[in-house]
Amino acid sequence: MQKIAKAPVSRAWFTWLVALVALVVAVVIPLFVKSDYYRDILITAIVFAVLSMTFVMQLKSGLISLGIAAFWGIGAYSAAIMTTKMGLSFWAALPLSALLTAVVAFLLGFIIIGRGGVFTFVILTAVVGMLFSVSVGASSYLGNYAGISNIPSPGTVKIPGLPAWDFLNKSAWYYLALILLVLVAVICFALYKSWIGRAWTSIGLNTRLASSIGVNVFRYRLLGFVIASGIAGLIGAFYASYVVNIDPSQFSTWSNIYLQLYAILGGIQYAIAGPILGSVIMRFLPTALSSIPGYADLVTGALLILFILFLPHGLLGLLSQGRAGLTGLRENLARVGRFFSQSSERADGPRVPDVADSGQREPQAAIEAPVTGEGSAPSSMNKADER
Amino acid sequence: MQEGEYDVVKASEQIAKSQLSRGDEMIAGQLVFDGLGQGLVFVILATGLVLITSVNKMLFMAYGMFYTIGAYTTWYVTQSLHMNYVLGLFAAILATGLIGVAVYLLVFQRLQKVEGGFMATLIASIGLMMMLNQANLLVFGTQARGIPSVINGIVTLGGVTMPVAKIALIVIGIAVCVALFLVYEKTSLGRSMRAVSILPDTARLHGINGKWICMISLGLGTALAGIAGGLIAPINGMNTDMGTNVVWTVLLMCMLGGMDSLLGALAGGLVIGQVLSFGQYYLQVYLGNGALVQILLFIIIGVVLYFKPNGLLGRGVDVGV
Repeated sequence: MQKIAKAPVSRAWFTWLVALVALVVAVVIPLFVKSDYYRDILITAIVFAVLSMTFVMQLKSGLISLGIAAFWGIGAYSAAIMTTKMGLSFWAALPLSALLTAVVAFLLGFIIIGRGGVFTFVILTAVVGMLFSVSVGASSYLGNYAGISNIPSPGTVKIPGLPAWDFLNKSAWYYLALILLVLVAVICFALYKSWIGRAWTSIGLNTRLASSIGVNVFRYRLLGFVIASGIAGLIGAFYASYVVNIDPSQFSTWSNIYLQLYAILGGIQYAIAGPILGSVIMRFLPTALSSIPGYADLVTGALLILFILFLPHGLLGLLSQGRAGLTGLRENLARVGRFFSQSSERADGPRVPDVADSGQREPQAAIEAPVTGEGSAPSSMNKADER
Repeated sequence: MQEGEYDVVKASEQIAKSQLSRGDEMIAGQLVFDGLGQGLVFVILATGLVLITSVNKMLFMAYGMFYTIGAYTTWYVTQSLHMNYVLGLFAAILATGLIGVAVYLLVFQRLQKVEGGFMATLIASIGLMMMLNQANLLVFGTQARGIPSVINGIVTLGGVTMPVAKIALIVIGIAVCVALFLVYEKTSLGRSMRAVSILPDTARLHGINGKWICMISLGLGTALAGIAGGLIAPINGMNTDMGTNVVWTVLLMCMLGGMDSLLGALAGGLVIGQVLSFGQYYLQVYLGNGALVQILLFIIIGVVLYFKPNGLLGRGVDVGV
């Protein structure tokens, strides 16, 4: 909802405690949730949570990608081809397909990120997404629109002291998904804490300022794009093996839109917790709403709009200022009141008060002359900056 | 993208097949004519979207739903209420335009000011799309519908077969475009729109009511989608997916021409209409697979956008992320 500024101030030990409790809850959930239906929702929620994390990772450096679903699909298809046609095992295909996706992303990113600004990136990634769908649909090797079926499950893993980890029931799948989720979360956390993450944040906050202090915008954006796409490919390989049959419609641009929604509903400032919370809620919401058949989409859409109107920083955004979160909630409730009793004077749009204004809609930027003087790093890769 | 997603492509595939069997010599003229028919519907859609995008600075994903609503409203007025087709078209314009104005007043005017308005409006428009899609299903049902052709008859001119209905479509399309261009370029309303699209805050300082202009441009844009839906209804029929499928094509078309240029939308729509028409036919003839035209289309758009990131005629839209 807003530029990802610094991480919200909170006590570190409290964050770790929450993370630990969440992990413990996630580990014991299959003991209580016996229904395969709900376990399936949990697993897809994890898949989408990972995908939303990659979305947030790219958003950190100011890029809105509509091509995540395509890279997810590339990972899924490469794993499917490796396991069904080349006879590799799942455990070999998982890292290989992630690597392959990252390589594809590197080659594409060279073209996509090197040109133009954010809007061009949005549309070019959308082009990539649709190009993926139609070219898979046109290729008989990849099974056209019918897709690839009968993708084998992973082989049984034997860990001493634990029951054999065979992929016959959903809880084994759930634990594999959880391991991948934790792995990705740790990778994200480490990246965000490092110099790379700070470079991404600086680019997202102000591209020109970042490049003027020596951050190579193109290189860091490309790095984010490649890492995010590699993660999407990793989870795609898992997903292909999990759902057994894949077809291009699963990786359409609409799935991409949905995983963006999850991240935003959870709260974009929280790059790891936000996507998880948002996707779990949004995967369960249609189930909860299925008691009113025929209206589920209507209610979901209305909830989305209400959410964005009155809670624009996501669910976790309520916590972001600690005690001030309550003030924020009060402000939002006041907005609800204003919404229903608005007068034309007030219609100028309530401005969210607790957000530092960084000139979001500054009109001057529309002209945005190319940055003259690239700083002191005349690298050949430095051709890309904001526009 | 599933197989059935591009109904427009499907229609031109049928045409190409019928021509293949006929072995027509005047194939180029025929293809130009068909592409023009498709292209003008695209042009109307694209100009509407450009109006919305350039003035309101948002990616309006719900746009396709207005196309569907326009088609279904026309169907309802002509088939269920047994009224005139022209009346049906006006009903479609009115319905889509009013919904557009209403959603602006209720939702989007509140979101534009908020920081990160681009993402907020994107999400809200997706929510709106889901709502409108479901509402459309509830009101009009899930079946594919069709309107019997309003004008019958075929004119053959130098070997080119031209259904009169399509000629009428082209004429109406050109008329709509000309009217829109006159409004945009010659009237004070259009001048205000251009001002708001270039420098919104400066325009406000000069006494232009930005809110009013944004509302009008959203209503006008959605009404244009309604017109396009109403026009395509008697020719291609309608189904409930038509809007969600067309919105990406239209977005790409606007991107090809330039997101902030009506002339660009015109160029983009016409070019894509011709590419679909010709590519479909020749790929069917030489490679035996007309569906490959979609790949060709995306590659063309990708290449053009690589060399001209702002589109063929655009200045470039700035969006805050």
